[in-house]
Amino acid sequence: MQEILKIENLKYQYPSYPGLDFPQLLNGIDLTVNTGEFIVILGKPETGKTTLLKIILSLIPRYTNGTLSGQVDYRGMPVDKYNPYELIEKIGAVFQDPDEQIFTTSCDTEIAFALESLGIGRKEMTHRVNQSLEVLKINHLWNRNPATLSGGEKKKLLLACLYAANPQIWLLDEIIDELDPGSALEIVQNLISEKRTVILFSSKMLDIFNDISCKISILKDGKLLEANKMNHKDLISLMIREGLIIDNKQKSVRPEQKIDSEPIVVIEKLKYRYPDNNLFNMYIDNFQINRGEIVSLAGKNGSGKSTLGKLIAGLKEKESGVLSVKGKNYLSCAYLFQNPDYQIFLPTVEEELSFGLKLKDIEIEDTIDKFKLPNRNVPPSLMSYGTRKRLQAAVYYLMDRDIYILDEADAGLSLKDFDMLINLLYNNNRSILIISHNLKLCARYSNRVYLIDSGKIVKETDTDLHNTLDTHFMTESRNP
Amino acid sequence: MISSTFIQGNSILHKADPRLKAIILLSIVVIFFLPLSISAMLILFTGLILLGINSLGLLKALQPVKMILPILIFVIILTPPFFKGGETILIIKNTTILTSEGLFQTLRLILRFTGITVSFYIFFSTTSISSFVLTLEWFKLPYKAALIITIALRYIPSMIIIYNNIKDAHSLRSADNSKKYFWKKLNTVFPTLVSVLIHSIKSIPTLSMALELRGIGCSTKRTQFNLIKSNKMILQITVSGVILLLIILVALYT
Repeated sequence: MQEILKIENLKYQYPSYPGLDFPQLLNGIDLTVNTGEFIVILGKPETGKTTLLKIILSLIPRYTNGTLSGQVDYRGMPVDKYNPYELIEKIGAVFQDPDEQIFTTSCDTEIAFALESLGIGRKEMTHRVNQSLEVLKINHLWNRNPATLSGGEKKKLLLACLYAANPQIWLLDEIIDELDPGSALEIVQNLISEKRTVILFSSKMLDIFNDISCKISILKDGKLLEANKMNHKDLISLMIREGLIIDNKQKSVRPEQKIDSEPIVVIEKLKYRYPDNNLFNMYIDNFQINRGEIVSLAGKNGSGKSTLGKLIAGLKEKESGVLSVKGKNYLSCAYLFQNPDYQIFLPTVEEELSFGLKLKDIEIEDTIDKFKLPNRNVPPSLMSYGTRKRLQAAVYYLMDRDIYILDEADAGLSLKDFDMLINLLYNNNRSILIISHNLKLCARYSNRVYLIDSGKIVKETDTDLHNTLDTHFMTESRNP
Repeated sequence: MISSTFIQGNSILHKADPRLKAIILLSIVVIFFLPLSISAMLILFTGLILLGINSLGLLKALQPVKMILPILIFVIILTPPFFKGGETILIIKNTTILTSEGLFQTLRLILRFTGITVSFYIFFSTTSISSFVLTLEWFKLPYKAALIITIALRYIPSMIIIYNNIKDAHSLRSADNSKKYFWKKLNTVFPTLVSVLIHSIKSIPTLSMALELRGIGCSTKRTQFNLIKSNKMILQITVSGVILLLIILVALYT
């Protein structure tokens, strides 16, 4: 094994803005990466994982003001001596938000884009594109417009892009969150078997990291702590404190609430089809959520989870069948989109919280406090991703809806923060629908779980939840 | 779900060489600006609609007409009063509202505007963006300029998706969410556009980063993954069709 990347005493601080002071984010990072190593860097949101990734890619401070010191060397050469476009075959990355990285209109062209930049011949290019599609098992998507793919499919596409460009180091930012466990395990095992050098950043300690041979470090207070240098007890307690794992001793995180027999959502023989996609047909025979229930909707990437959630919220029109939501859809449902920026559009936190509502000062202060938001005058656009997600939830918390639909709301949040959101939203006889493929998450919070596959409910379960889900997800991934 | 301006299909236009289609598109635009007779314009317009129906189906072929309908209504209302020549057709309270010249000019404007819109719509619905970019490059447009166009075109459908998502997200925040009333709908447009704008501005640096990481800026000469596929028979049929159309037009015009 050969040293390929060395980070020494790396420090970074973002510039401050009025009302929003950023502390020293990275405060002396030391890391040595050897070829073929698989490193997992865990850290709760806003600890600097994405910033570290961008520094390694020579994008910071090139694109962001701020104070950077320390050394990052790729094979003995400082990375800031390279332009980012010179790093294609050296260091490649998949960002947390796949939409930020996709710019062509078909999957095969997207994969070929970097190869075209490298001046690779057409024959070799075609070979690499086909091979990448095959390795990631997305051959059937070759001519699809990436804009129409699900979140997980987009991540697979970007991994295929890296596979084709074949960089020496792979930097993967929260890629597991949107992939179903079966696909995630397969991809990670493939990377390990091919002895690729990988640094994977994650906000949670996922089961998958226990199943593979990897080096785990925790990013805390701007420093990297190596897991193998800590005793097991201290490590577990640190992970629980940081919200990276769930405390098994804590059996239920739900506040006690009476579950009513009054149905809030009733679906019978519901049919839906996308106007431009004949391959996907949704048919839901029976689905119900009662008042006070927490129900999960779990399924693989592209199985129709979000589509069903949007149908319930009245954001999509059903083709036929029964779909009744108690009250008027728009007044009963709160739908928390995966991307918080869709729902945030006002200049300050205060204006966001009080939009359309007559709130007293004390209510605003109380909500800011409960959701751990910065002060009321801060522009949301300058806040971190996790804080924007908490603001998005706070907005709906104040609106007091009957049912809250949380669409992959845990992505980019620590388990501690997600716990907090569930606890705050789940009261006053409200119901919650959690859309996720995170097995533990579904098992942890829900009274019942519906499994969806190719637009159809394949199972409804409330007992032996974890085993049922495990079996379902670990079977070979099928795509609609 | 709006996925792209391109609609997949297997029609003659879908198979036609994009370079030829681009030339024909430009020719049609020029023809529509010629002082043609109404009958010649009508024939050309009918031909375009038939071509659209053949390639995209009736509903999709008429979609651009629906999109520009409000503008057409303005044209119908505002054009006739400016033309007083010819026979008087309509007088209201001693004021001439419509003359034969007014009617002629209104029809001409409508056919010209609708014809050009339909032509572009058919072109972009039957030509994939990658083929369009290859066409631009074949016409010697520098790669970076072609890339800017691709990204712009790639982002038009994406922006529509983002706009719809944001509109949905906002509608869920609004206490009164009546979709029926025009003014209430209009009131929601501004905050939605602000969000789309913020979203777009925020994506500029990340998009630049992503482009750099995929090699934009490299001095190496870029190769091409997609090539324009030419079908000789389709090419000949298309050329013959265009020549025939031009002959008919010239005959009618002269």
